[in-house]
Amino acid sequence: MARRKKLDAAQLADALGASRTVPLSGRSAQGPLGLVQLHAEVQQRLKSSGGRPTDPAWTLKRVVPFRQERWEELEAISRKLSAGGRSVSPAQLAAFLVERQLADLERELAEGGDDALNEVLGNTA
Amino acid sequence: MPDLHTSLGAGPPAGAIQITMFIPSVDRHHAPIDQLQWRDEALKTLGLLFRGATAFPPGRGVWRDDQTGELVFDDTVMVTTYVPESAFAGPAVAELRAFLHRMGRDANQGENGVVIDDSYYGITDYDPEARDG
Repeated sequence: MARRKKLDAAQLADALGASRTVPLSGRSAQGPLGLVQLHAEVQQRLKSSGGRPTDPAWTLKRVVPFRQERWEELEAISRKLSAGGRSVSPAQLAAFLVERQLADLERELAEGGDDALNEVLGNTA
Repeated sequence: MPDLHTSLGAGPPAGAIQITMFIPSVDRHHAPIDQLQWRDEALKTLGLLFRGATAFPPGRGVWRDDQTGELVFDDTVMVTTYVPESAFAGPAVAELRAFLHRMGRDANQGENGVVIDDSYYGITDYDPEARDG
């Protein structure tokens, strides 16, 4: 599937008559919409087979360290995402977020992000 | 990767760029505005330009008026759509601009913002009425 180029924000700001432009770090669904999408994804992917609902594709388990406050954030958000459906644990939420971030990085690589990295690092390969 | 658009049997447009507008419930001086009218006008604008849009239920929002330092709380409706990149080649941006400036001016907004793709565009200086028709 062809990757699209990013829109020229400066050109678009001019065309819209915008006074200011704030980059949103390449994420198109933030805030309420992002949480709604995440809730839908979590509820769709977690399957129950007797015990705690899980994603059948998760076949590996690894020990990952967290900061205390980050874990508390994961606990709080996972409680919200569990509302009205399957229960999601903080660790499961972390797995979802890692997958999303990896997908973003893969997209950046496909759009030439590795060229930019190589340039910064002085690599020619 | 398979061509998902073809695999899904999807019709045009194959939109991947998200546009989100914010429809406030009050003006910059806290006075209520006709939010339903502006919500429907936003839907109509995006529907005509891009074939569809969705308005979400209101969420509590806040905006800081930098001229006075005052916080303006309101119940914001988000109207969103997905469009193809080709949609930006024609007159759609000019028509989007006309709507955003008209709403900002006529609904007395300190700032009228729109998110397109991965950027927020804040509009504070509105076109005069003659320009946006």
